Amino acid sequence: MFRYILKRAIQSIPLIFGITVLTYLLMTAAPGGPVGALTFKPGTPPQEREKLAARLGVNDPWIVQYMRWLLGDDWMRWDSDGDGLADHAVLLPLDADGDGKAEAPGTSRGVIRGDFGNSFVSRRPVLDVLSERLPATLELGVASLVIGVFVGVVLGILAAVRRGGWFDNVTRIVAVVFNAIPSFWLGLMLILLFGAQLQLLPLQGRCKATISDSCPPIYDRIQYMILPTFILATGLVAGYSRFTRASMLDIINQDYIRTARAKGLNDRAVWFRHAARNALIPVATFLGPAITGILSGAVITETIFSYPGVGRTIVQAVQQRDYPVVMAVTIYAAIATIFGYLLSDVLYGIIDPRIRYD
Amino acid sequence: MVKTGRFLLLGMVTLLFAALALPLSAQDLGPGEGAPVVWPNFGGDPTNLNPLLISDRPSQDIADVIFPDFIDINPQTGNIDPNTPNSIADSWTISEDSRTYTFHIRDDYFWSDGTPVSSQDVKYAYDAIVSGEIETPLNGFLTGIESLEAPDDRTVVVTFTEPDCTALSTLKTIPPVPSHVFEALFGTDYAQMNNADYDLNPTVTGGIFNFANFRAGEQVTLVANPDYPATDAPGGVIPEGFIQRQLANQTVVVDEFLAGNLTLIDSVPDDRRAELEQMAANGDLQLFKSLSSGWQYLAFNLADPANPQDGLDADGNPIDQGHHPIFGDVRVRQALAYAVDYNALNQGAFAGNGIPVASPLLTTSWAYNASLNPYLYDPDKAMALLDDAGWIDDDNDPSTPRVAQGALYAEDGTPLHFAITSYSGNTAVDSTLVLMQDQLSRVGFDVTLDILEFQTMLDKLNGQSFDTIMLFLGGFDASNPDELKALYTAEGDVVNSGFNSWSYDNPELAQLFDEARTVPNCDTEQRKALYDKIQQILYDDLPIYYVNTTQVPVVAQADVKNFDPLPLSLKWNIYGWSQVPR
Repeated sequence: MFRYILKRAIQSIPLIFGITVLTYLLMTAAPGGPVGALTFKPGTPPQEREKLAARLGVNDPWIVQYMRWLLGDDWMRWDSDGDGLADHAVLLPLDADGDGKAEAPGTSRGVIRGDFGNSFVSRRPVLDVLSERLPATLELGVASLVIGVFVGVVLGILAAVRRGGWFDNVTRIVAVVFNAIPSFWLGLMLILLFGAQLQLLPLQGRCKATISDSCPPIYDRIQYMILPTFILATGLVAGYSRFTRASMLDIINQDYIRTARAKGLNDRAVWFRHAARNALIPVATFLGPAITGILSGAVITETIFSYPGVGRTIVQAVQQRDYPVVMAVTIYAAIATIFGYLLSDVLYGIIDPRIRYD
Repeated sequence: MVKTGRFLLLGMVTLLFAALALPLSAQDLGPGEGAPVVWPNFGGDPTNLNPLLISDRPSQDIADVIFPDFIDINPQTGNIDPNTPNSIADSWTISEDSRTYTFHIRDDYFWSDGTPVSSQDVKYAYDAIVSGEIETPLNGFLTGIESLEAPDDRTVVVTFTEPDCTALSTLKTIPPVPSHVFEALFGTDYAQMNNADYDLNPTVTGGIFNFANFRAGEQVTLVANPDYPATDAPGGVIPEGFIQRQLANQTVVVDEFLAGNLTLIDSVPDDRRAELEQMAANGDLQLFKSLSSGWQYLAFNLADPANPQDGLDADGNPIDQGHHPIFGDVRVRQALAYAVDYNALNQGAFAGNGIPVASPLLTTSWAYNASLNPYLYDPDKAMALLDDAGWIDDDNDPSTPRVAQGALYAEDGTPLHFAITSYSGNTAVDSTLVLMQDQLSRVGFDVTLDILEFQTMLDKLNGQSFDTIMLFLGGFDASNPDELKALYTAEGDVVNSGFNSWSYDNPELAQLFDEARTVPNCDTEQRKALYDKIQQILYDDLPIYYVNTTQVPVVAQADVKNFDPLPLSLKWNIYGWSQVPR
């Protein structure tokens, strides 16, 4: 098993590399750039805009920008006489902003050295920006994953047990409806209903605005999580309930179930002890897509509910063309997706004795 | 006697209990006893709270209340006056040659660590800005200064290279910083400031509030400054603190406000305006209408959009940028202005709240030319101008596009077709564009709407590859008409980085701007006459058609006492806003 995991991890490296190349290419190919928005103030002299563009390196060819992001740029522009200004350069001009002076030497950064660079907008290290936002995304993600899987599996089993009955039909309709409704629309409707009209739940944010240093513990602000968790979990509930139901109905026609019935076991024991346990094995493979779904769902949900997580950060970063932040979130999402699928496969091997990876 | 005493005692006890039982009146609140001011922000997190590096609105909103100014506009008078609240210069003198300004610094301002605010704080800020080492938008504004010195802790002496009537406006942009802290953190290696911990954790501040914490994606928290000078905040700083709360969008801001979670809304969306105005009429909230500090405009690209060029070459000589085939001719620009039915536009897109303007200067500016009238709707005149400019109605059907026949810069047979570029997501802009497209088609313009994502639109604006562009430009300083120069002179016509993206170049205008800046003794009447002339030229040449400015409604909770915004400053007396904590 360990060898299998290691092999999969190694295989994922070129995959992540490919994702980063493609993302960087698409991002820099998109029209617009960070400089216009960062200096959109009448009176800002053109030279200041040029200097900013040179410092951010956004006028360089995309492949040079990508290499700077990946490897750092201390090997592209360096200072050999110690005067603080570069005197040699490859791939880059010595005087990038055209002010007649050489630029400062490059920095020993780059993702390969574990440095994701600084945000173009806030100038802070990208990892600091993301690590501040990760707890909010994790708390929403874990809550919706647990609730979505639990409710979805239970509904799926019950729908299978009562197949053809009203419960089965209702869950099917609800699943189709929740799968079909866009989460941004549903989120806004719930905000209007429960937040604005009924004033039962908070409209926005992660906790009440007070002058304290931080949000209170999660159990004191559970009301702020209800709506976003519900929105994130609805897709999972819909998917898991249908998947579990189909798996249950598949299992129920197996020979060993017929044997169990022939032995005189009651329905409850047959359905829940024998059928459900085996029906959940293929359900485990759904975990990878579920994690991916939560990550992509968080982008919309966190934005609508102004929840301070990674999803909302990437929306702002894309709008502001904050390339280092976009790239870091891309890598984070890629790793989480790969991890989710790997986890599915590993779980499958653990819970199904017929599967062996070695 | 004993009985009387018992009655008195009983009465006093009853009064005491009554006093305790009655809700605390907002008028009685002492310093730090009021509810914190909760201010909405849907523009993303502040990016930097170091006043030298700020380039975004959310950061500026915070800096306004945690740092003092060197000098500032007095919101009561509209002028840059000595002793303006929250400003550290209480007087100044000007030398006979009008080049040297000597400022006296107040001694009752202190940083939050107890260090007095001094002239060194201004000097350090200036040195850092002009060093060129820090990433600041302020560098371009400090032009014409020969030197800035601090001979002692209470004196700042600034010498300009030549007499400059915009001197005070220029110096207004220097924000004092706690130099003792900056010296310790950065010394004279100012570049370190660009990525410093202080940027989002300004440990030492000195405004109405002091910085408390920054919670990414959630809020910025400030606490009342107990040492804020009583002369500037009579009664002390009443609110316990100030919270800038991050929210998703304007619609949610209104609902959060209605749920009582915000103290005010500083920009009410158009679609909720009627509802809030009705509530204000019922006494459920306080409403104040403030004139916007900018305008919505339609700019014409006067140069060839297929081959964008800078206005000047490296030696300062004009570059031939060609002409826009349609809008290179002033008559076509004027025809477009006459073809717009502003009243219909105002009702349809702005619910009647727009105010037509005829000049790029704000109507609150001392230099505003009130004799100019906005272009009035006159389709006949528009068609006559188009005929005169060689754009004819060849099929006698006003609803079909005209074609060129003897036009100045277009080949014969070219249809009168152009695109209006703008950005998505603003309902007022969307409505304006659709209405304008329809109105212009009635005189023979064929208009395509080119609605882009904001950054993409900026790319097209800066790249000067548009036909016309509709945008809102705001944040102007009513006291300084000179700041418009960058929009209308060749120095600002730089592809991808200048603000004269429409390539307007009129040497007479540039000359007038320079004259107005250097009028002997800065005689206001003479300066106004020159700015009047500038506005007249811009009105006639029409490089930009100003659609309108608007009144921006501001609402506050009904129980906030002393909420008294002025047109030039919403939060000038925020220290006194008094609301009983809920």
